[in-house]
Amino acid sequence: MLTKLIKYDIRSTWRDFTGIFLAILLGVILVPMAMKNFSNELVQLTAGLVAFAIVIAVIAITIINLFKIYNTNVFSKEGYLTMTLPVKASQILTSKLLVSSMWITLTGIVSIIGMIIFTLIITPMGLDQLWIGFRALAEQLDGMAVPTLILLALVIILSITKEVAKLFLACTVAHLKFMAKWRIPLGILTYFVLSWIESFIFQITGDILFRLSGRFEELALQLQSMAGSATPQEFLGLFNGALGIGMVYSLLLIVGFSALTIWLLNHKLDLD
Amino acid sequence: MNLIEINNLSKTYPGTKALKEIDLTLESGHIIGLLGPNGSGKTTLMKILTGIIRDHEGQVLIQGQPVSEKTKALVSYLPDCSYFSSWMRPVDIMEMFQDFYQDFSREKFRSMLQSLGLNEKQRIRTMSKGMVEKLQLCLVMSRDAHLYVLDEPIGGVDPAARDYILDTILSNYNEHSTILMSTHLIADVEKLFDTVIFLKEGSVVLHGEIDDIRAREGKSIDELFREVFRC
Amino acid sequence: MTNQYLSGIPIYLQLSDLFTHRIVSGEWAPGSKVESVRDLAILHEVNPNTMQRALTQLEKDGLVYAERTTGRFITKDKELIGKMKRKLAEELIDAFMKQMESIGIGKKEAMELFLSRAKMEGGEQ
Repeated sequence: MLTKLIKYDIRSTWRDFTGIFLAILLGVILVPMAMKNFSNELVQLTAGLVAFAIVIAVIAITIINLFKIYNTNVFSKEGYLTMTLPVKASQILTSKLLVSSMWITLTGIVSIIGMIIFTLIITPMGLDQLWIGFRALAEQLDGMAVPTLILLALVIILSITKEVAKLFLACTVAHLKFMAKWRIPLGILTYFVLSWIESFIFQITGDILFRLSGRFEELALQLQSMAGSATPQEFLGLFNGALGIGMVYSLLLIVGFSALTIWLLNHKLDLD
Repeated sequence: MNLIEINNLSKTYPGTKALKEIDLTLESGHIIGLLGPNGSGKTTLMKILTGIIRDHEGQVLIQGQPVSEKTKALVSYLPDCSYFSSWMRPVDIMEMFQDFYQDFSREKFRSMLQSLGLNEKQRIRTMSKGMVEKLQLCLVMSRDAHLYVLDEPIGGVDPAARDYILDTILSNYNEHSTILMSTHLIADVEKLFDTVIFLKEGSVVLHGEIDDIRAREGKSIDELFREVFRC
Repeated sequence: MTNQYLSGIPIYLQLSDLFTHRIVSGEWAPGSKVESVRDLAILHEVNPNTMQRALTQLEKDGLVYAERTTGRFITKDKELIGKMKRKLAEELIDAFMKQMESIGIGKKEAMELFLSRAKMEGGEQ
């Protein structure tokens, strides 16, 4: 059932995202070419504006689709279809989280590729320089760069997923029956309250860990001295550790936000 | 086992109580008319049965189970509004129903679409209100469900389509399913029902077999309704 | 789907009356098979449970009998059908006389009117 839900969530959103990908790719090809070949100020300005517009469009389309995939599909008239399907609320939410994260990740990848193309067009020698720089760095880190990069990518993706899960929870809270007229402002408020609670917990956890007896103070001092004189490999090792903790943190929050959302869907759903 | 068991069901909104301690037991093999004026709680009751409203007091059991994804597989719902996404065409929703519902029949759906003059490939957002209602009916009736919940199925369609819809409802009848239908057009539809429920301001004021009621009251359900719900 | 049934009387009784007419008139031939409850219900646009009750009523009256595996059949008992025919005729006559009385025509006058009219009809034929 989950795969089927994913299929239809993708179907409802792929047009918008492939459109945005095309716009990015077109933009990163046309804009620098225009800037390079025409020194006319008007053209330069237009090119700059186009670039800016594309960035805005990407952000806008992403946010709109996030709402489309969850808020509209669950709480508008479409909900009469979605919420009567013989599937669990957890499956519905999981599908939407996965598809949203997938699209955002793809948008990120396309953007990075876009930036590389952009750079290449502006400075054709750039590719060689980039590659040389890359090789040097990789050699220095002695092959440890790859796991770090993967971990880094994962942390970023999980972080995004966490934000999306938070957004979905805020939407769900906003649709509680007693919210009525104040739905939109309360939804936004909920999102920020959740973010604040999140950073609060983060701070407290950090504080607690820090204050726990001498053992940890010693470890902290050790870490500090290590950080100062560490080799790149050792530093990477620590960094990977930090990334790992970051991943666990995001995962816990994703589970937490999702569990709350699912509970609300199962006990407080009241479609208009 | 009863198809539907409702115990002490209440639903409160800020300011009103839409359903007041409702007790109902409904069995398979019936076509039941759920009648009452606007605001009497018919739609609320239907939404609770179909799982669209989860926030209520009291117990609702469908084939012995509380409302869940398992009961949704047994229930075919025709709501009072269009629930399609803007990207959909009939073929898309057909595929979706095929994917999610074991009891859905493509052949039946297609033939119904054809009888009603609907085009499989037409974007639903370009269809008229009447066409969308017909489409939704085709979907609902192409499932071999245990419970059909129809919220005003003939309200907005022309008389010819109305006849077709009512005939379809009749031919979909079988002993192991029940059709629960709300309507305002009582006179037209009365003879389709064997059981009738009057809902007044959130309470059940009448529930019984139509023939018994007609014999006892000496009038049609339509006439009785006008009496009970006189403004 | 227009409503062609009277309001105060249960539909199943109206249906069993209709079918009784058909049996008595020979439209539903003695011994012939009765269509299934479903098909009849769809044909007459009524609830199948209602149709079932109508047929059960016919069974009670003896005009229809059920074979466990093959379905329902019209009785072959011509005497019974004849009795029912007479009963219906009597009901019609009673109704006729009542209606005549309501416009102030007594039984004797009604009979005379009837005979002269019947002769006229016969003459025209």
